[in-house]
This record gives sequence, structure tokens and C-alpha cells, in this order.
Amino acid sequence: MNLATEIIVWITYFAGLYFAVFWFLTFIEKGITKDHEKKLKRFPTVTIAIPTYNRENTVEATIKSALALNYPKDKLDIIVVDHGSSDNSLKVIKKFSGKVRIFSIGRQPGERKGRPMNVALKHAKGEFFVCLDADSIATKDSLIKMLPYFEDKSVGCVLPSMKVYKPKNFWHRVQGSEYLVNMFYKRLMSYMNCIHVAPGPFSVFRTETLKKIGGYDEKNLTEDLEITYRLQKYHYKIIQLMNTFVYTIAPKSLKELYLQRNRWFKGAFLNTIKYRGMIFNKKYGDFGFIQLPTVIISGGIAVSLLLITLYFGIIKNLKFLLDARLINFDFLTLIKNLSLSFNVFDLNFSLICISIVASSISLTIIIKAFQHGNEKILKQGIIPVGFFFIYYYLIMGLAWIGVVFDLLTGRKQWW
Amino acid sequence: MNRELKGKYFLAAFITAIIFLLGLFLGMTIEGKRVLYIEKTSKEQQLTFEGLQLQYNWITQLSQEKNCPAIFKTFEDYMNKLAKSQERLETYSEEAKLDKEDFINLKREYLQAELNSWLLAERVKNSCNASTMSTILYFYSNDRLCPNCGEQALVLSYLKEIFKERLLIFSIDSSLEQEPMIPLLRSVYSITQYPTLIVNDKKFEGLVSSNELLGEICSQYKEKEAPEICKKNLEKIKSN
Repeated sequence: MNLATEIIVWITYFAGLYFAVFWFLTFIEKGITKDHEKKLKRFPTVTIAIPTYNRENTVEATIKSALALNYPKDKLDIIVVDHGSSDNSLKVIKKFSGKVRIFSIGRQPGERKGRPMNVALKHAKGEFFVCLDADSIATKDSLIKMLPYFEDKSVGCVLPSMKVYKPKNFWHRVQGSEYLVNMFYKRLMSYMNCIHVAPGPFSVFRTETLKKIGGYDEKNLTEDLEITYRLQKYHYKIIQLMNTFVYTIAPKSLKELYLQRNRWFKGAFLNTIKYRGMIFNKKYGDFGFIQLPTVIISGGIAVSLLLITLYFGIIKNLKFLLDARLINFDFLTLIKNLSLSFNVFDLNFSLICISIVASSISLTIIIKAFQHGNEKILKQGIIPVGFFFIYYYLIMGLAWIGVVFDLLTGRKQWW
Repeated sequence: MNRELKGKYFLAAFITAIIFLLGLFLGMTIEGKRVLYIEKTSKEQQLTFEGLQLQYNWITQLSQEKNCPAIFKTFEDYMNKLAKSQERLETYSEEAKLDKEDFINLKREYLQAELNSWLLAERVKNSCNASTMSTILYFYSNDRLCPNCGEQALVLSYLKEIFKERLLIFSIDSSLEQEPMIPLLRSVYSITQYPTLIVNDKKFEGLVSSNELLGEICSQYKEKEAPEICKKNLEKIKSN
């Protein structure tokens, strides 16, 4: 390994370990307390905005979950905005005429989810505004558990805990683990008031706040992340709950997962550049100092770890396979006489020391995340959880490499 | 809203640095232990070599040629251990941060051991009339000067597994300029590139495949006593 590679490797390990230690310290300092269910003193009107675009298979369940919310029906204002679907979404939605307000808008080039969200915001009658993606299912008690947190006037947004809807395959279960860990991290971020994204599935806002900060960015790739950056810019508090759940349909294959993450990371990168003035700006506290740099640095770490793994784990073995042509691929002779002469001094102790600390922290976080998310590792499956623990960074690294490639080649985002 | 920055940033950096320093300290401690370990192994191997020389003297002075197979066996064990230690030494030396000088000295010790073994092997070959024992002098260098040395090492390990005690390979690290024998050998064998192999006095320059080397090594044997692989190789050549 030459000096430059070695420096990159050690910087990656240092940065990765730094973030792990930082969040672990936050965990030790604050702990994760149980959310005490607060009683809702009054029932304000709430607008639930469901934007749809070619979601004929899922939108019905989403609307039904909104209608089934444990909340006075006369206080619920459900708006479904179809953003020019070419499938049967509109037909499905129309079955709920009378129970929900329906808007159908055309889709102009460059428009994204921010556009239907703004239509809903414009027509919203509620004091509170909830975004509910058309592939997500709200749980009955979610709203009633979330609204009391708005008693604090500085709170601009309250988030539920997201889970994968009816996990069916390996990739669903891997993402299930990821969601739990992410929610756990976001809870820690919530303590430091530096949450960077209020996701589409059932984030609750004050309608007035959303209007005051200018509504959604209609052309933004990740409008949910962008509006959260703006909430942070205006110093609103964002709270992550652990006792309130919303279920969302997760990508079912590696390709879908890659495409979704590529879009998320690209959006995160572009928005971080857009709000670069907040980075390391004391005015924005921990959000500027740890959260915004993390968005970019975590991408760097994922790419670097992927390349390190590729180099040491794959390229070297591939080279061995290629070299094997020189011995007519007669591996048997080499293997049958192989004598393992293990020596304790052969181990790389510097790396082992760092790996043990980093792995212990990660494992503790995973175990705690499952505990607080009311899930069991065994039920989720040891293999998907193990994959998430050991290999998930490879997919993240791949998606980030895709982001760099797309940005450099000016490739458009269609999905 | 009051958004104070916390000392946790520095605490996290401090703890991370402590973990890194601990790792570095462990690495350095192990480096020292590695030097001691190789030195100890080197001494043991030196002792084995002296035993080999004694065996050789005994055979030649007392005309005990019937005991030649015993010396071949000892030689084989000795060379295997030497090769393993040398391989380990290469890795340790590559990873060394502080004791580079110590590792260079150790490499010189091993190089001298290889050369001494080679000279002894040539004498044993003559005294024991072991015309079927092949020797390879393998001149290698660092990655920059010899990008194909990794491949060549694989080929040689493979051949060693096939011929076992009938093939002795002596690896010469030509980047050890401090060792006076290196320029001498380079000039004697006109070495201009790496890898270069001297197989039973025949020179091969550049990367050589197992098939080419098999051809050379197998040519030492009379058809009857040739190992199975040589017979197969011969059949292949004939059918082509």
C-alpha cells in the first residue's frame, strides 16, 4: 500500500470512528427515554396531504389509514393531490369522493413532489399539516400521540418512527434494520436539535410555519429534506418520537434500493451545497457543525470504505484468479498442500484495536435501536441484520459513487 | 433560540485520538515483538543450517552416500521453514513504521542464509550425485521494479508443491543493495530485469509460466524416473 492510499485509509477510519464516538457519547449523555404519552388538551383541525403519482396499488391503503385515524372526523381535512398519474391512481382516489378532497393537477417538466404538496398547503384548512406519502400507512394513534408536542411553541415539526410495511424479502428486512437504527440516531439528533430530514411518511408540521417559510420547493429532488433544512434555518425545533409508528413500502430489490438511495443522497448533497452558508456557522449550532458536514463526509466515508473493500477484498482475489492461468488453474495442488502457519504477530493490531471499538459501538447501537423500536433481532433475522451490520455500507458507497457519476456527467434524474 | 455548541466535539475527537494512539502503540509494540520473533527464528534456522553442514561433512568425509536421502529431507524442511519466515519477514517489513533498519538487517541475514543454502545445495547435489534435484535461483525486487514478481512467486510455490524435495528454490531480494553479494550475482548472471530465474544454470528473464518451467525441470529426468506431472507434460508435448 503506498503512502497516499494509506493516508486515505486512516483518514476514513478516523472520520468513521469519530462519528461513532460522537453519537455514542450523545447516547451515554442523554440516554433514550421512553416517550411519555401526553394528553391532547384540544383537537385542532388537521390537514392530511396525500400526494400521488402512479400509486394505483398503494394509495387506497394510504387513504384508508388516514380515514381510520383515531381522531374526530370533523377535525380531519384529507386532501389527495394526483400529480398527473398515467395509471389508474385517479380512478382509485375517486372512490373516496366525499370523504376526501381531491385535486388533480397536470405534471409540468421538472416538477416534483413539492408541487402537489404546495397545492395541498394552499387549500389546507387545518391548523396542522401532515404529509402522508401514497405508499405509507399511518397507525391509528399516531396523530393523537404527536400533536401534544406542539404545545411547545418553538416546535415546528414532529416525526413518527418509520418501519417497513409487511417485510417480505431479504432486502425489506435489511432496510427494516436500517430504519430502526436511523430512527434511533434521529432521536439522538432530536436531543441536539439537528434533525436534517422530516420524511414524507406522516411528518406533522404547523400549517402557519410551512406557509411562513415559503412552502415546498417544487423542483427539489428531496423536498422533505429541503424543507427540514429551512426549518432548521429558521430555528424551529424538530422532535423524533419512538412510540409512534408509520409503515412505508420499502424498495423490494437491490436495484430499486440503489435508485432510491441515489436520489436521496443526490438530493442531500445538492441541498447541502444550497445551504452551505449554514455549515460550521455558529448561528445554527450542532446542525451546522455536525449534521450538515456529516451529510457530505458520510458519503466520502462510504465511498472510501467501498473502494478499500474492493481493493483488498475483491481486486486482489481477482488478480489471484487471473494469475492462476500461469499454473493452469490447478488450485487443487496449491490447496491440498496448504499448511496454515498462523502466528499472532501476523495480525494488524492497530486496525484490530480500531475495528473492535467501532464494531462494539455499532453493535450496541443496533441492539438498542431494536429494543427501542419494539422489535427483535431474531424475528428480523440474523442474516439480514448481520448483512446490515457488516455490508450495508457497500450499497451506500455504491449509491454515492452513482451520485458522483451522475453529477459529473450531468445525468438527469427521472425517477 | 439558544443553540450552543458543546464541548462534546472535542471530547469525541480526544477519545477518537486516544483509540488511534492506543492502536498505534499496540502496532509499535507488536513491531518490536516481530523483530524479536524473526531474530529468534533466524537463530533457530542458523542452527538447523549448521546441522545440515555437519550432515554434509559426515556424508562426504565418511563416504556415507547411502544417507543422502536423509540430508535431502532435512534440506527440504529447512528450506520450507526458511521460505515461510522470509515471506513473513517481507510482510512485516512492508508494514514496519519504526524499525525499518532492523528489518533491513534481518532481510540481509535471510538473504545470506538463502545464498549459503544454495551453495550447500550445489555441493550436496554433486556429492550425492542427485542429478534429478533441480535448483532455482529466483531474483526478485520490489513492486516498482518488478510488477510481475507476485505472479512469479505463485508459479514457483506451485512448482514447489509438485516437486517437493526434488526442487529447491532460493529467493534473492535484489533490492537489498547493502548486501555486497547482490551486485556480484547481478554481474555474474547479467541480471538486467526482474523477475529473472536461473533454473539449473539456464537463465529465464521476465515472467515464466509453470508450463515453461516444467519443461526445463522435467528435462532432468530419465523417462522412467520422471514424476507423474513430467510424464503428463511429455505426453502433451508429443500430442501437440
